[in-house]
Amino acid sequence: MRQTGKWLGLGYYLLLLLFLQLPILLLIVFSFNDSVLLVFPLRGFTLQWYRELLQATELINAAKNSLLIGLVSSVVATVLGGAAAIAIARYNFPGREFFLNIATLPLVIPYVVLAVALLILFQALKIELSLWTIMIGHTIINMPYVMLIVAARLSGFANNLEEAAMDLGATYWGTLMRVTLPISMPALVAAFLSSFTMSFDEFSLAFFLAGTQNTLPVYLYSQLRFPSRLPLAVTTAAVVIMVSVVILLFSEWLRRIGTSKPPKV
Amino acid sequence: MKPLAVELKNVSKVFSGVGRGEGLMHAVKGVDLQIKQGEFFTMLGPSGCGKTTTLRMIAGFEFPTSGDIYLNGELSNQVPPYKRAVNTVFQSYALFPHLTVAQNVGFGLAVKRVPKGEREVRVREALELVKLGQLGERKPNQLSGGQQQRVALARALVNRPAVLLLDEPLGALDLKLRETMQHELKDLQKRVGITFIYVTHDQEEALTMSDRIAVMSEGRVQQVGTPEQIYNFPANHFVADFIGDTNFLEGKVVSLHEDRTVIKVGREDVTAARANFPLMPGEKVTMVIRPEKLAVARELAPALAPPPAAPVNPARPQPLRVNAVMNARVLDSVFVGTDTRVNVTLKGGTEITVLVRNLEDDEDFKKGDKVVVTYDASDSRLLPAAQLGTTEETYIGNGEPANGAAPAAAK
Repeated sequence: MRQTGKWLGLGYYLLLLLFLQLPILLLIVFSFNDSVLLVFPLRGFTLQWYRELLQATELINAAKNSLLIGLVSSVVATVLGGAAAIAIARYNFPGREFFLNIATLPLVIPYVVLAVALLILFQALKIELSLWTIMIGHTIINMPYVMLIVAARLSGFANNLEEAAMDLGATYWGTLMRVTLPISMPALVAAFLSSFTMSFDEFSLAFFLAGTQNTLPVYLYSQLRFPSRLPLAVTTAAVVIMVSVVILLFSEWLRRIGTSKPPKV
Repeated sequence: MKPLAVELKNVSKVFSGVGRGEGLMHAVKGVDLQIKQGEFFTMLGPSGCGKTTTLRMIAGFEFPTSGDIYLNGELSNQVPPYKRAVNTVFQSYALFPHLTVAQNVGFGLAVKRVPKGEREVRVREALELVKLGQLGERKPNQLSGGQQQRVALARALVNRPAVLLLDEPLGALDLKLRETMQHELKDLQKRVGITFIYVTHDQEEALTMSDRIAVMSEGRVQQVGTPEQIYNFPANHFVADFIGDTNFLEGKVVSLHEDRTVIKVGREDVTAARANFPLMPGEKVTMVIRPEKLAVARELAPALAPPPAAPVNPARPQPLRVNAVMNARVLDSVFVGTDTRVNVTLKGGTEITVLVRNLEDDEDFKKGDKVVVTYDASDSRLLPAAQLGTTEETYIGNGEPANGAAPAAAK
């Protein structure tokens, strides 16, 4: 009886893996396939698509845009979200709960809705759409994640660490630099990395708020209309997947060393 | 003359209960304290009595709502914690998890930009003072609770504060370790000569370690004195009840004498010591006497008879000087290791407890046995009957709600 259960569980797990990961695996497999069509049987191994990838200037420009937007928006989100998290986790001020709820609202608003709302806002303010408007959009969606990650980390530490620092002669600023920021650091780095990945993948906001320049996901989408470009899109996606996986593994590793041993209280 | 290490003049603290809609909370109400240089001073009381808030005001984490705090003779009400020559040992230790033990201990010196060479010497000295010389490179989470506690102590002492504040520092340790640490702390305090202000709810801890104790309840100081004074001469009902076990006998004054007072408890006339406050016959009073000051016997004769000629059993404590007697009936007797607690009732129903040292030749008392309870009247104390908070300086009774008149005042 227990044996059957075990086999059933294993079967379920394998199916789950298959459904979740097979498409991604296929993507990578087809990026090396010597054919324009995405069909089996495979025709032979080639690096042609990767070579073409390096020469597709439009695509590389889009990738650069995505990188730039990702970097700027996640730095800004980490700074602002981190500061908000410290305020929420460490200080008791009137309206704290309200602030927390407002600040995490973007988590529950569909990105499409947010995108349309921002589009209207920018038009009303007569702000021309550009990479900057996408950056603003991405900062808005990243901030709540940063806040939650950093606040969770801080709540694992006794509140009186800061009091102890001040008791030992550190000013408010000194306490922030010597205690609060160092203990938040693993969370800040993890938050930055996940923000970056999120921004890099994001489509809706980037689609609605783009000016003349596209980001990578939007560019890829636009290429799907031309069958001959399909292998290039597949290859790009494969590259993005591989880079994302590396970054996510790194940030998860950081998060774990950060949270594995909170001090005993 | 040296100024007092710490002086509190009529200090009060009101919290406005941010975000909870609880109105105002009067944590500390008009506390006066004078703490001398080099003293081991303890604030003792149940949780919520205001002792920790008082400590936090001395540390500078809270500022008093009214009243004045003097540190070494200087008015320090609004001085931030980092400008006070005071260091704190926290109940949860609050060690910095990202720093090594040595960096933790050196934190205060690093902040004050003490040169590295001197810093290292002082950190090493401080770690040796608390017997942790070998562990400087460890992280706090690699230490046991007792070791973390010592690091917290070293981290505070290395700054050579004028006053060291300790907020229930032994609360998280197990019993054995706690007893060891009590002795070590007391010993340490004598060696370094720093004023210690210690907060605890553990009366035994307070009695063992302190030079003087302030017993607190409901935001007020109930009594300040040496452990002996607090134990033997409790100022009011609360102190008598909180420190050790005690019998309370509610009665009415029958007659007043030069050396004693006779009161009527139930239907029994009971002899008590002279009161140290004016009394009139017929007035209600409470007599207080410790269970270990009472003796119980089947009959009066042996107790009041002249001392026996036979050699006294050396194990038996000095025979109590006896000059007062109560008649009682045994309710039950409970064996508690070295002693037996005999619970008896007086005529009229008042219950009292007698603590009898266990010896081989002891008699067994059974429920319903007629006995006499003997004692020395001067071991008893008379207190004004519980007055339900009508008088400021005496017992603050249950009649007063915890938040006082706060909700009304908030509007």
